[in-house]
Amino acid sequence: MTPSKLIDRYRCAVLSVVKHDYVARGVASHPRFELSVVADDPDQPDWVHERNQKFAVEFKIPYVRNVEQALADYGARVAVVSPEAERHCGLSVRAANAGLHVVQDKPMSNRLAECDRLVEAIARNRVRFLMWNRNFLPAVVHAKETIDSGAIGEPYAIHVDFYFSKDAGPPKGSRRPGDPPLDWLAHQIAAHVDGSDGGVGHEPMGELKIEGIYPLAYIRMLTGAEVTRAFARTACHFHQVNADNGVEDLATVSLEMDRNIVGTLCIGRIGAASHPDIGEIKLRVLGTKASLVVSEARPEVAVYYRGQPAHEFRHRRLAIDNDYLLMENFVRAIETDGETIVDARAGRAICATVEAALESARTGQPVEVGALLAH
Amino acid sequence: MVRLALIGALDAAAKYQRIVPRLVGARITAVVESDLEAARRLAKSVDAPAWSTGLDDLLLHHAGVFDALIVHDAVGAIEDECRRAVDMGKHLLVSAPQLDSPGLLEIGNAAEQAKLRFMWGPPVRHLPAVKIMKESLASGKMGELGLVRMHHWEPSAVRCLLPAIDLVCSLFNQAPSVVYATCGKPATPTLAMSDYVQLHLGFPGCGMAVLDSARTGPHSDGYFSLSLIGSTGAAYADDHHDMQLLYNEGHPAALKTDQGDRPLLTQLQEFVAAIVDARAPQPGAVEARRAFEVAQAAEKSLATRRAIQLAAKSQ
Repeated sequence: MTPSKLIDRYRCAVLSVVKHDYVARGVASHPRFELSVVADDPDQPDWVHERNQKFAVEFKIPYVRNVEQALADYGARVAVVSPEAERHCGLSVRAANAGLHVVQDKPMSNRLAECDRLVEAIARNRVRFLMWNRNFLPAVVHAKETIDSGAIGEPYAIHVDFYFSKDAGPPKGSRRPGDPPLDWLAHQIAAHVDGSDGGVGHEPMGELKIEGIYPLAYIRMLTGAEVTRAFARTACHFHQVNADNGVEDLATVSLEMDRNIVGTLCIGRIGAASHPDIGEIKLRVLGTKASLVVSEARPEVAVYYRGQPAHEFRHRRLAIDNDYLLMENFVRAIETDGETIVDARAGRAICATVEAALESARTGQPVEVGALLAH
Repeated sequence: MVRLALIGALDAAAKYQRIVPRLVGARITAVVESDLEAARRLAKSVDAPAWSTGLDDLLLHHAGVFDALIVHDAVGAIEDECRRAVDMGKHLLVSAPQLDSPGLLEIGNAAEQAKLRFMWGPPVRHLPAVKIMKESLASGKMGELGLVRMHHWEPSAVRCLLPAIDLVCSLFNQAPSVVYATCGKPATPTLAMSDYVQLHLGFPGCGMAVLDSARTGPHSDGYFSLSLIGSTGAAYADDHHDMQLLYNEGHPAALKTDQGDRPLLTQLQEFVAAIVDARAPQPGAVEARRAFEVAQAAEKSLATRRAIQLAAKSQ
């Protein structure tokens, strides 16, 4: 596809919007993009159709139970893909094959082979791809600018703490004898009400798969290096649904990267009681000339008042233009034939790092990411 | 009253002056500094009747005036003298990071065999934040400890990895069962050569720890951060939170709020109490051995690029 410089507004097809719908809303926040249709496959279960329909009604656009027909009939140039994790790559590949640029929710996939299929489809169809990410949060942008200015010299180590202080159903150890284990998909569907259904899908996923894209995208952007080796420990430490389904809610990863850069990632869904706000999210970058300690939550404002609900964050983030800046990055990539901030290859590399970490946690030894990259 | 000999504390003279009157059950009775006049001045400031220019000289001429040695900072290579002090029945607190070596372990073992009190390490364990975090953990409020995350960046070429390892082990109250180590650029095969190292520890059960130690970096005040993630709560101590801003030309500077005398005072009081109560201080020889074992495993991990299994044993 050639650069599309003459298009004022890109019509977007929302291909399934069953998870929290922040991706589609983020796309719609940019004036160069307009949502024109919601579409999904007809054989999807009722709960999927209900969510798609609800979103379509809110945005006053049609819901079409036929993806290919919607792509053909509504003149969409961009697909916004946010179904269950297993269907991410499948829908994105179909959109790419139809000549659409793609914005996709995380994770890229829970199968590396699916990532490969998507990388190939994006390249073959010469369309742009954006994995949704948080790289344009103000503190992350500031960290990037500081590093790019040369203020810390050459980064040689990077550490990210990424703790989400959210609950995920009943705490670990709460299941009574004789009770059945919690069903993953049923739990995720129910969790939609409070937006904690990031792992929606049939196959259970731990925090590394669900949220790992964010910190690993930070590391990738701030170092410009590929992860070559990972060593990890994982645990089901907090939530019954994770314990019942054998997927981690806490993980630590040691990373070895190009140019002898090393790093670590600590990630977990650590429970709502463990932090007064969304969670402790920090970046630390050591360089040859100086080091950076960055709170991802800054800037923020504190608001307290009598009768404040327990679950209302006391500290609220400010100046967040992440959605707009992601889409600005995306439109620029489309119109200059450039790359997005997290393109398909980057998304695939991040998935490979997660796979290596999980394999390491299983085997107890470091795993070469390169072996997975070569697949 | 426990009589203490203080070695190499000139740089911290003012701090000791403030602390000595607050010490319960102990007083400083001897001082060692390489410069005689400095030794005399320091002795006077802490009201110590004896002073000397070397530990060897102190042991030779003033052995009768003190019961225990506090090596605040090493005056030259004094491992042999520390060993001799133990042989002469002196309790020993080595907070000098220069003694962060296998020699320290031997001295600790000798002290333990002689039923003397041996304590080591800079007072990381005794930081006020660490004390509060440990109390919260011990109270059960935070549930089962799942993760310890620690950053320890030193302001000088001194390596303080062992105290960091000790602190992590003390939080889990056991040694790790798995050790994986990596080091930064330039990649070097040994801990001694590495200016930067990160350790990844796995503990029996599902506990894990990640810590990194940097030296020779431009961290003029050092940087310390410790997070404990428990099953029902978490605790965060971070120098980042304790910074004040100095506005001047250009960007403002971040100035770390000093934690005062409390860490050193708590460490000294623990040492004195262990002597009085005839119990092992924390951290003592057992903890030194544990930290060394982990450091040795880290060394092996660096050399082999593999995770090293350690036999689990409760402490």
